[in-house]
Amino acid sequence: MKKLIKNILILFAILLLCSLAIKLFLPFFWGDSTQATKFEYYKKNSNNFNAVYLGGSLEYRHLDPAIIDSIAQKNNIDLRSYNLGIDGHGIVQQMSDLDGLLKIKNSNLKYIFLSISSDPYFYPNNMHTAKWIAWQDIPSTYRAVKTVATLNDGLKKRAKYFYYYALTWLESVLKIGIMTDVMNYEFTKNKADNFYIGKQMNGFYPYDYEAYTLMAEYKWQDTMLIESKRVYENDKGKRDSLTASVVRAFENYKLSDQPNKAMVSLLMDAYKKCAKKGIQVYFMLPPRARTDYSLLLPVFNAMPANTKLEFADPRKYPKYYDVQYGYNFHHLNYKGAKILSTDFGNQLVQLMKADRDSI
Amino acid sequence: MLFNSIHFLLFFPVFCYLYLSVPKKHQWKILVAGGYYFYGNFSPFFAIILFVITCNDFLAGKMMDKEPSQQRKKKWLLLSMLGNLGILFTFKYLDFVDNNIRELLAVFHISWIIPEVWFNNWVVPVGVSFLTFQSLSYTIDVYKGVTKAEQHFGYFAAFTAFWPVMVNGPIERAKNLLPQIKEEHRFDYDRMRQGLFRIAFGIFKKAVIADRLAFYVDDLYLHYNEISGWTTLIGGLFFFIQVYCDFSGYSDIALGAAKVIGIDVMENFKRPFFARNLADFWTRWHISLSTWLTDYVFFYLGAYKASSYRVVFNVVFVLALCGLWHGANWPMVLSFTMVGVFMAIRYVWQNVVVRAIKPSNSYRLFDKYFPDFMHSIITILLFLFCFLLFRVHTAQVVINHLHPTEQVEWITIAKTLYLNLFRLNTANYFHEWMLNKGVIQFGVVLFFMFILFFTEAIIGDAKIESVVLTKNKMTRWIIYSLLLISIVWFGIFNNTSFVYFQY
Repeated sequence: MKKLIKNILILFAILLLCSLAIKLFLPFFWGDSTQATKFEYYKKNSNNFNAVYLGGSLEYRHLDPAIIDSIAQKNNIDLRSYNLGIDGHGIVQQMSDLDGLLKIKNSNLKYIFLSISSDPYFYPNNMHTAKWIAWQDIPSTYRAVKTVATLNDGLKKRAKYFYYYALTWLESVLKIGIMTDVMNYEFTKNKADNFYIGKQMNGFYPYDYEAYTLMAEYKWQDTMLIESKRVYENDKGKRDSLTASVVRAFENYKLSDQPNKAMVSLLMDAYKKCAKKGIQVYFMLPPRARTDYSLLLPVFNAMPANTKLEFADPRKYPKYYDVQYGYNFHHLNYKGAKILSTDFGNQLVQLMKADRDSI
Repeated sequence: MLFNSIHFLLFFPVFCYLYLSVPKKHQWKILVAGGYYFYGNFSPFFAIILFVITCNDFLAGKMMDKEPSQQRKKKWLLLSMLGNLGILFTFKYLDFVDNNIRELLAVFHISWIIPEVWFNNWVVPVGVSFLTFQSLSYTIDVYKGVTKAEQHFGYFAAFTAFWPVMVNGPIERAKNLLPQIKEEHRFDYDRMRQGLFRIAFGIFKKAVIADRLAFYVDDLYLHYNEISGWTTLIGGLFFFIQVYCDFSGYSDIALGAAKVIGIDVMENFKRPFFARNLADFWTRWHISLSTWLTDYVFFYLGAYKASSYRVVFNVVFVLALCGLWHGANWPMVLSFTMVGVFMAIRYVWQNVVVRAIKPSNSYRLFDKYFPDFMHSIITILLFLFCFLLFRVHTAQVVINHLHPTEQVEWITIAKTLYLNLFRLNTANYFHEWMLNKGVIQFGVVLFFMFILFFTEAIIGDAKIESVVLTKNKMTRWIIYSLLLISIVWFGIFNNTSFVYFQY
């Protein structure tokens, strides 16, 4: 029996070594072609940018660096920003993106914008995909399980996600079922299509563009996207109820509400890490997040003063919840994105000016 | 519980440890408990059905043993058949029969008294066809005197609840399994590594090849009206290989798991893609079912000891029955009936034509210049042709579910597929395959299929685990490592259920 167990362990050690050897040749973003394209472009042109937006689709599809930069420049602020938001990236993955970003040499990098728009939960359907497995490592899994453990949900749900993250980590370490994707990445990385970097090569790409230029590679996703738009436009009841829930979260918020400590510490770690490198971090609370704002709002308000950009309150920003500016339930269309980018630029300029005045 | 699930990964070592470490007198209890846990995990209701089958056949066997005359024994055999086939019919065929009666009466504008919804959503117990056939073989064997009736209910319960073969075969016989269940089994290093290697080989076939081929096969049936020509031919071949890898992979896991606990189960596949003709294919594909049907139906009908017409009927009837066993739908029945027709044609050809011309020089010349591999290719093409219907019913259900407003008949799908097969001047949709799934995916699947068939060509009809164990240590470790790495890196693990589970 001992001999059998020993031999099985040796076999798994061989597997582990081979898998780790493969990992040495892969960048952290290899699993997602959009992310790979955006990061590869940034790597090649990093010196052209001094600011980067991280986050998910709420940043990728909503923040137009061209608009924000021009507002800043009109106010004599040198801002040359690049949008590194990637569809589906939540708070934990954003931290891995940040780690990866900080490893890319760019002495000009002065500002990083982080999004507070999600908890560490994810769609279980994403599991077993290269996009979800590729980025998971020990630090990311630790951050995820640590945050999941502190959420206010039942033990069963938290245990389930704990298991999901642990399993995904194992899949990532041993490259379980993803070698075809690795080969795909290796053989096609130099043929990457820059489509998803956007027309102005700044990483911004609204859903409206995507809907009109269906690419075969993403055809099924894009078909779903158009379907989500149709449902959004026709379901007034759901639209109103979503907006009402956001209003409720803001109305019920009290300054004494305790933020989720794990999420705060995750974001503050990022803040301090960047500060050490002389990079200023700003935190953004975007509109239309899927996660309940009663969780996000206390976390957002726990961030340092003069670093917070808030656009989520429907009472202050009704347009972001208006059907004519929406693409689907959780995203703005290009018209909405333009308004948000303008508001973002103006609020950022005020923050930066206040910061300068205080000095 | 699926063999390719994390649940099984936890269940299997715990079961083995318990089974191999308890005293001999308790081992059957572990087998029964493991079997009921394994099967009840799909649904507790399934475990109840298993218990009913077990009680029914144990009682029938025991009563037959007591009866002195064959006439009286026959009554108990009928009770057993009624129980097994009744369960099979109720859960698997009642809806099918009900629908057919309804459709037939509709032709004469008569409405059927039973509402359509009655039997529509009955859950078919997983592997019920395997369970009932295995249990039924016991009572038939007791009736025929091939096997003695089992007097110990626990051993018999362990036979029916023998989980490695319970839901997907091989359909074991009592005379092989029961004596082994009664023996003492202890930890044996050689058996264990042979068993584990066989399990790994089965997972390789299932997770690396079959589930990867599913990408293309799913497309073939869902986009049946866009795919034509060579793409249909390749897709059809992929489907044939997918079913083989899926089913034989499962059998390998079952054989390996049984071997680990010290029990030898019958082989279910012997390189069917190297068969020289249709009859030879039938002795290599799903052997446990083909021998079951041969022993209990074909011989009962008179086998080859009858007039040519009767033999033709026997062959076609048994294959049609085989189709019905596989699925309660007409495309499946037709698929196997077509195989039966081809086999009958071959029988007539051999019996009438070849017998007449064999002594002549022309036949010898023909045989000389028509090599073995050409026979194999023709056999594969004939099966491919018949097996295209194998999945038409499932495709129809999926397509109609996806497009509820545009209902499609199975006959439309079948007709389109067969017509597409004959447009060999085109290769429609192949480009989409390359674009959507990637050239690398296609290359990977071809590579692993080549590895599999190359291995089968080298080892012949020997058992792969025995061949590997004869190699030197270095070669063995290289094979083990490559097999493990191929499974882990290239396997598809999204809990896809085995294709044969629906039967």
